[in-house]
Amino acid sequence: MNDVITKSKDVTLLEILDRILNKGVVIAGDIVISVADIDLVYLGLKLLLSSVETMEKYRGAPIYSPYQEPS
Amino acid sequence: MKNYKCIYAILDSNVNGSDHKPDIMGLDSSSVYFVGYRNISAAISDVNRDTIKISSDIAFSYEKIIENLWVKYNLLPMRFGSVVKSNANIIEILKRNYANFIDNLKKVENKSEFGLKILWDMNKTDFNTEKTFNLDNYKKLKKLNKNSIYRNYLIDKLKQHKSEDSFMKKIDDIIEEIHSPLKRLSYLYKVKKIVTPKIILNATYLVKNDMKDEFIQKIRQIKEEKKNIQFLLTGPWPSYNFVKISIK
Repeated sequence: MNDVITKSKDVTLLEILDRILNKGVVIAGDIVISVADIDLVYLGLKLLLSSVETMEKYRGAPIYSPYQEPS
Repeated sequence: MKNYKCIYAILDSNVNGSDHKPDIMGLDSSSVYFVGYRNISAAISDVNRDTIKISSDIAFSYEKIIENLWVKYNLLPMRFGSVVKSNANIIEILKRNYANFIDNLKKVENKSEFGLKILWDMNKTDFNTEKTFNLDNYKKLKKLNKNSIYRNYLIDKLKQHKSEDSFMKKIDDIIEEIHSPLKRLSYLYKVKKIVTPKIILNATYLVKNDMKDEFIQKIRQIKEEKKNIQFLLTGPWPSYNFVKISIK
């Protein structure tokens, strides 16, 4: 059954980067220094920006079609 | 000194306390532990600020931590690099976003995500698109002088447009043939049509765990029917693409 699922390490790394850098629960805003009483330090954006170049290299041609989600 | 807390995921049970030690090593070689509020928890570990730098090893490690948690708990994965300074901050996050976390945890419970990319080589793939052009369908154009540069230019442009139109319609048909059976087996899906020389579709599907085998089998079946394109299926993943929360 699992012969259909891709196991290539390069592909898996691209898929991981796409998920952990772009998806999941997100801290709103660019760099959040404080949110009301919470002193929240978000380091992810700087890392995201620095890794965008790497991601573009992995992704190849830019994407131009919009997402389509079920209503 | 490790004076930051890295948040890996939000879990749907309060596993705060010494009875629940996940025995998972977090980034920076610190154990993962939980901070709870009502019936949810955050899985965290102590890190140095300098530890949170992306690299392929760190990326694999981070994902592995979430996968290990996912074996035991229903969860919402956090985007990489989400750090706070104290457990009090975490409790505040859980409290402020409690309803949203609960809704999303219910949505993803007992479900897995699959990523599907459809790849092709545009130059090697012949989709038998319509190549004939019938000038009879363009009466005004037909009346123009046959030697007219204007006429010939227009004919060339129309042929090109018709060919592209036919080609794109064929792509849409192929995507529909692949996506239709898969969406019927999915709880949710996201589809992005991309037409480049290398890729035509990037989709993610949220599939109930008891439908996983059937979903994979369906892809195998479609793959057999469409040998001129390549299927890149990954998963099962925790539900990264179907979590819509911006933390307040």
